[in-house]
Amino acid sequence: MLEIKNLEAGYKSIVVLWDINLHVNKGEIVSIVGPNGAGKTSLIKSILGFLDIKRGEIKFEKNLLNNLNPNKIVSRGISCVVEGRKIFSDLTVEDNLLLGAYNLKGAEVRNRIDFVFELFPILKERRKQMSGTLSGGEQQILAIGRALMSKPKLLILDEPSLGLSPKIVSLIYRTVKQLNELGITILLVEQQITRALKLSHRGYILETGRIVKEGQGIELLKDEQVIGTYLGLV
Amino acid sequence: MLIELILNGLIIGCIYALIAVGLTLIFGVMRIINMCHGDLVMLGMYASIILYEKYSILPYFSAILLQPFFLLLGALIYKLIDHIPLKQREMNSLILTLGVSFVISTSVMLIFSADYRTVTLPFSQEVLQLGVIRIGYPYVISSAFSIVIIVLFYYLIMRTKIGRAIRAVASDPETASTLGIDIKKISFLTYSIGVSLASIAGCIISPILYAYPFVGGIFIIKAFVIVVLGGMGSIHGAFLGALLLGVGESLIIPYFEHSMKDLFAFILFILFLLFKPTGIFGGKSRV
Ligand SMILES: Nc1ncnc2c1ncn2[C@@H]1O[C@H](COP(=O)(O)OP(=O)(O)OP(=O)(O)O)[C@@H](O)[C@H]1O
Ligand SMILES: [Mg+2]
Repeated sequence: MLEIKNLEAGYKSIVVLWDINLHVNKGEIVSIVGPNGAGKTSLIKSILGFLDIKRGEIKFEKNLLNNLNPNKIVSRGISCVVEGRKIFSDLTVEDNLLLGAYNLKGAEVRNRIDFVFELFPILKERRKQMSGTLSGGEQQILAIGRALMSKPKLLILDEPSLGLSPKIVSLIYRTVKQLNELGITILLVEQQITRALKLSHRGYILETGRIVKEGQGIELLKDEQVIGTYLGLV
Repeated sequence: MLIELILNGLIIGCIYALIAVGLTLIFGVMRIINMCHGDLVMLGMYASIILYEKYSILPYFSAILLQPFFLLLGALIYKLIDHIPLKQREMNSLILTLGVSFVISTSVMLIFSADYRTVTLPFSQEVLQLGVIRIGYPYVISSAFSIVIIVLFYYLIMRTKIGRAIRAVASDPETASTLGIDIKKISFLTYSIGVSLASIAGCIISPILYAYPFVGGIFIIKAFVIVVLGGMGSIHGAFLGALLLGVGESLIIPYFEHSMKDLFAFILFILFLLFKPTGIFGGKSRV
């Protein structure tokens, strides 16, 4: 579904990603893990069209995404919960959700919002509230709900559990699994490596802009090098 | 009389609001200061004066009739701005729109001379008497007109899909684009809305204020004052700021010469920049 080949990308002349090869098959949960500054967010942003691509290609459902504007890319069926939530805090919960369905038609928008309200009843309760007044966990839930509004085929989540209480994290992980069972393909970026890899079909480990390892989620967790560098520290 | 002065101030304030809200919206979404905003008001004044003198079309109708022309002109200026690469936009757009401002105002001077012009409507001298309060009819009609436009504008921004997208882009363009919103399209729409409001303000203010080729300079500075009063990029702030400035100006008239009225705006401007540069609302939330 998503295929990245020999990607070299960065911010203007500063290259931060080298020779990235990665693919996500339809129906999979794939995670990208790695330390701070490894380039996880940059990789996501390059898929969304925010980075300058020096070399290589990014394809979604066989169509090249290189050099498309972000809004065109997400219109193809990709949706992203970006790092740091980035909800519009001076807009209501409902306005935020409706913005997520910007490219859908009226009747479909109602269907989607019903779907999201069913998934996250708290958002229905709070729909008239200014989003900035939600708690951190609620804001993350809103960000996920908003991303789901566009009826994505591929949902990308960049550190959805960052800074949240265990209860909310569990809810988010349960939801990701549930969404995947509903047929949404998931690309997950996480620092909580154990949890992410356990949930995932496959995983990639990113370090200083390069993919240093890839494999089945559970297999990666058994890898000695991975245990040494990541789990040893935790 | 005090109530009359306040009322007059509120009326002028409504028209100022049409000008300032466009300026603040364009700033919020495009991060540019549209220096030719006042000249669009001035063009609206001249166009409505000509239409009235030649064809007896009332300025209130001209405000609507002239929209295709102004939207075209706005699109043209937008195209110029859009040519500037994003990184250089902040400074270069300032210079560009200032250039456009000069071109518009000097062209008007060459064509119509620097004479003061106004529209004298059949009912220009008539007054509406409400108990002890007396307001000139042109004021009544212009303020009613601007209130209708403000309500429509407010509905557009707060209740429609386009308005929601405009607010989203103003608050975080990058995130807005990850939701599938076309930033360029929204910027263009915003610019068009701003131009439209400015031209409408020009048309309906022409029976009240004198027009001359460089009157745009006064409008842009007042709009600045209002925008700073209300907090850059804030729509509610711009409305409030406009009413405040209108009333403030109106209240000082009895104590000073009429020509001092415009000075009030500048003094207010300096005071705010010195003591409360983030505006009345503290510059927390934008749009
Ligand atoms: N806008 C930018 N301009 C230039 N360099 C940037 C920019 N954003 C990120 N970088 C650089 O790219 C590299 C990768 O950063 P990135 O944010 O992608 O890492 P990350 O893996 O997401 O880290 P974290 O886990 O802390 O979120 C870093 O060296 C960072 O300094
Ligand atoms: Mg990151």
